[in-house]
Amino acid sequence: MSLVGNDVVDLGDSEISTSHLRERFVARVLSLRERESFERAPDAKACLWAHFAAKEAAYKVLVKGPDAPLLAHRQFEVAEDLSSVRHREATLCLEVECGGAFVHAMAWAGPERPRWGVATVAAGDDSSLAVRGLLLTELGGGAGLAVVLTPIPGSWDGFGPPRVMDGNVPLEVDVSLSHDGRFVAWAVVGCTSQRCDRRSAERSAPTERDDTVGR
Amino acid sequence: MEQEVMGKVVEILRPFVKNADALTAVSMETSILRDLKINSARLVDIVLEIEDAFSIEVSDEAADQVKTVGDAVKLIVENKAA
Repeated sequence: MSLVGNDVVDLGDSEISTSHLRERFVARVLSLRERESFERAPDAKACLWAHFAAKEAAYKVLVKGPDAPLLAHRQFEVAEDLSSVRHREATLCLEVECGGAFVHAMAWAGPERPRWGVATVAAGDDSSLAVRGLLLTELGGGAGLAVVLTPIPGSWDGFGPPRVMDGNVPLEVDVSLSHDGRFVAWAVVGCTSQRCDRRSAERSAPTERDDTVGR
Repeated sequence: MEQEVMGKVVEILRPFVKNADALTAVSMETSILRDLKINSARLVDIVLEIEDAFSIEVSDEAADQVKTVGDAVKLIVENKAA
């Protein structure tokens, strides 16, 4: 089964409005080769955050494997055409969407291309809860289906990667969740189990939000 | 020395924390991501601010180890002692 990681960046966040102008920030995030591309980019801000999101997405894939990398952005190398991202010997497929107000990156390892979606959340809404709800809707929803985070002491956020459980049974999918500012994003790959296929088929009405984009 | 460094670290973190209440009970065990809700993009900024404030250089390896306020304090104290 493929493994997936994703990351969304809200380009309207005032806190990142000048990051692309700050040389030390750029040097901390981009490799030397990427900095050459960055210098030529027509939209430096979008370029920086597309690379940042790609590296975060790749980190989320690789941290699921046996050799978890450092979360050191400049040690990841994004291809100039944004089609792949490399970390040491590992090369992952990459898809980057620059939606104007946001950047979304999805990296994956394996033969199957994951599905993804980005949506907006209202101010005051719990982004974490919202993105879990959207993912479960994509998976067909229903009682017993839940996103589970396993506490892992010493990990970056204190938890392992999210998993989807159907009651006590892990669903045969790999998922990734991200939220930043006004945006939430999910990515999923797999869903090959009979139960999961049935859930998708049983979906009675479109439940995706009108402002959801994805593929 | 740790208390003094911790005070400065909290002041560095303050502008990046959206919920100021989260800093009222800050301790060495406070998780920067989970408890203070600071994301990894802001952590890059924080590492740069720490470098400036304490005149140190933080390697990628050292930055990766910073998960809690205490981790940041330890990194600074060890770097200053080296």
